Formats: sequence, structure tokens, C-alpha cells
Amino acid sequence: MSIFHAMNTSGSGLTAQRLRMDTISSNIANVDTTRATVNADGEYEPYRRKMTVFSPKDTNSFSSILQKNIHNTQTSGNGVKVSRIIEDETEPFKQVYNPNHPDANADGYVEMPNVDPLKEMVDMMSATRSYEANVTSLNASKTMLMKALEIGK
Amino acid sequence: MNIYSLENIQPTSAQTIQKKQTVGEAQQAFAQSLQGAIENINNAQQVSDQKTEALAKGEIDDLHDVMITAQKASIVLQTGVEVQKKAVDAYNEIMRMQV
Repeated sequence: MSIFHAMNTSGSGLTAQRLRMDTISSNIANVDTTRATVNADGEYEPYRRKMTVFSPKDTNSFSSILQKNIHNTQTSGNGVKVSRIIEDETEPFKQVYNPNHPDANADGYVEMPNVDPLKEMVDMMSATRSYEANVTSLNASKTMLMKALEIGK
Repeated sequence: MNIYSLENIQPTSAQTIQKKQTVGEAQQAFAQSLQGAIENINNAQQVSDQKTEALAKGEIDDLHDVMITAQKASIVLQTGVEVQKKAVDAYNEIMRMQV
């Protein structure tokens, strides 16, 4: 715990949102990728949409549990981290009729990635806004510290 | 909680030790703590400089990390300047004292 605790917490939020933005960019860039992986049968599989999973940082460490029990209070937390990047298995691949495509099957259908550009745009706006919110809270922390220096002036 | 109440009743040994401190020792202790504080400020500035250089070289991929480090260095420097002002103010106040 230092005077920069709030700033470090906001910084972890910025890092997490940036990583989220990275996965969204990857999803948008791979919206037409049909050859992302090769499955067990030796056939190409399209790109699967990636998602980030956030979790609070270091809530289960020994020191945080000890502190919590000694002071009998909740700690203010150490920020956020991206615990996993998972692939979206819930949404099926989109079937598009395009017999000329090199990856078309016998019926002329191509499996396209399960990326929905609309959903990605909404996620992107959400990530941008969250990033801005973290920057705002960081600036507020700095303003508080600078105000503290004005005590007694 | 009990410890604090005991301290209020009995004069602490720490106070008697401090009274025995000579002027030279006190000055040295002040000089040491001042030097430590200045070193801390310098370290913060150096870390900020290193991060900026790494960013310029393209070794860093978190832009906000560089900015936060720069802000921290700025706050630490500002704090040091405020403390220095207070120390100089105290010195001037004593120099103005009528003898």
C-alpha cells in the first residue's frame, strides 16, 4: 500500500482494457479467415472468436488473506487482470454458400468464422469507454495528491 | 490499544534518548534523511527516463505505463519541492528571530 496504490490499480485496468482491445482487433481482422487451425481429420477450420475473462488481481494470495484477517476488514484490492483468453464455442460457424471458394465443402458451403462485426463494434466501444474511465480515475487520483500538497499554503 | 494508553502514562525511553542527542548528531540525522529523500526523487526520475527511452526504442508496448511512471515522478518531485520550501521557510523564520 503506497500513495500510488490508486494509480497502480487504474494502470492495471488500462492494461486489461488494452488487451481486450487487442483481442477485439484480432476478431475484426479475422472476420473472413477460413484457415485458422487444422482439425483432427486434417481439414481446415475457420477462426474462432476470442474473448477475454477478467478477474481481480491477487485476491487469493497469502498476504492479502492474512491482512484481511488481521485487520478484520476488506482490502481495497489490487486492480484487475486478464485471467484467460477463451474461444467462443457457443456460437456455431456461419455457413455461406460459395462453391468457388477453395475451402467449400461438397455441397458448396464454406464455414466462416463465428465473428459478428456488430458485436465486436459494441465490445470495442465498451473497451474504449472503460479505458477512458480508468484514465479519468487516474487523473482524479493525481489531482487529489496535488491538492494534498497545497495543504498549509 | 493497551500499548498506547501505557505510553501516555509513563514517559517513554525514546524521548529521553532524543534529548541526549547532540547538535552534530541531529544535523547528521537530518542530512541523512534529506539525502535519502533526494535519492528517492532521483530514482523516480531515472525510472521515468528509462521507460521513456525504452518507449522511444520501441521496447515497450504499454504507452499508459510510461505516462503513469512520468506522472508518479512528477508527483514525487513536487512533494520534494514542497518539503524543501517548508524547510527553507523554517530556517528563514529562525533567522529572523530577535536576539
